[in-house]
Amino acid sequence: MVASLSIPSEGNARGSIACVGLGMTLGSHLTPLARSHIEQADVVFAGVSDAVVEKWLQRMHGDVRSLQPYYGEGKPRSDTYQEWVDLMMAEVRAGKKVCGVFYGHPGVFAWSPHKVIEVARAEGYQAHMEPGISAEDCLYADLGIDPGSHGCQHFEVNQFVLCKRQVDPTAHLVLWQVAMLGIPSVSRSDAPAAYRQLLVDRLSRDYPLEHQVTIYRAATLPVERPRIRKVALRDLPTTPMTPEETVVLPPAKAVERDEDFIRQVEALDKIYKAPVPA
Amino acid sequence: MADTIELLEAIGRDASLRHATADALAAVLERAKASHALTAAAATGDSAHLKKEFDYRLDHVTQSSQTFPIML
Ligand SMILES: C[S@@+](CC[C@H](N)C(=O)[O-])C[C@H]1O[C@@H](n2cnc3c(N)ncnc32)[C@H](O)[C@@H]1O
Repeated sequence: MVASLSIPSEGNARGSIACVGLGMTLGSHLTPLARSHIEQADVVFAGVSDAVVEKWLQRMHGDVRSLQPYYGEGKPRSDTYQEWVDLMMAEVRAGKKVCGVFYGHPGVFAWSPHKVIEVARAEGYQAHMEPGISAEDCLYADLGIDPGSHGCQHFEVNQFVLCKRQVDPTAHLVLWQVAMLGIPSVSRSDAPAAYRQLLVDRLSRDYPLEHQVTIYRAATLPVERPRIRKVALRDLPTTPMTPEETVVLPPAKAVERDEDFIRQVEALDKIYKAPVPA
Repeated sequence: MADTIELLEAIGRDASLRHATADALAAVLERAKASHALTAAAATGDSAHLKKEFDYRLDHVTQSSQTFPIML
């Protein structure tokens, strides 16, 4: 009988870590396997962004420890994320079955889940990441974008502005954490408009200032709808944004045929697809 | 009063509830004896109403940190 399937528990179990995603919308996206990782853990750490979602998680396990208190205004996020790794590893080293729970997908624009898995594996512990539905997945559905139609580039906004990245304006461009441009810590308000003006200056090398950009927020509670705002690129600095919004630029140019490669494919076709003589 | 988290989970997993109009959902919730906060959140699509029901805490959206360690 299927219901009776179970693995006998080992005595002296070694610690382990699983990082799982809750998905974006409470009640809608959690996979059966991610839920099972949560329920079977000894300790659960929660890196979620909504107090209601955290309460929901507490219904699934009696020992849910919030990672939120480790943030601090003015404290570098990189310090906070290292602390998260240390907290989770301390329990793994103590022999616990640990589950790190993050909203969305635990490995999409999220440093600690990848890091803790790397550290745990290097120390010989079992470590696993279980995918979840990310903001990216919701964006494709809510905005009607297929990344395969034109291609799609994703950048973390600070890396995009501070490093010399190549933009392909024939593809979709998705920019994450735009409200946090120039903020290495956390903040309840978005960065001053002057920072986002730098982003617009960078983008204006590849896009006209009247290009329509979308500011997108996926529903996190099931009584919400997605929020989709369209503004001209030039207005991006003065449009208030929240940290949970993602900016999407549609392609600004048509793709061009590469005649050189097309000729090479045609030459190969003559060899490999020549009609077989009757 | 019905349990808000249970109701939210029930809405999240049910196709007709998840995609009901705000009015229809608010009516269903009123009949189910949902809290005023949840009914107001459903009627307006604004979850701020709901957050007031819990210890109000505006949490930080977790942000990835990959750029700053590279730059510093
Ligand atoms: C550190 S990333 C975490 C992403 C998350 N791991 C995921 O799977 O979507 C935070 C960024 O994700 C995006 N994001 C977070 N919540 C979102 C939402 N509700 N709708 C749209 N984008 C969101 C924003 O770009 C935000 O700055």
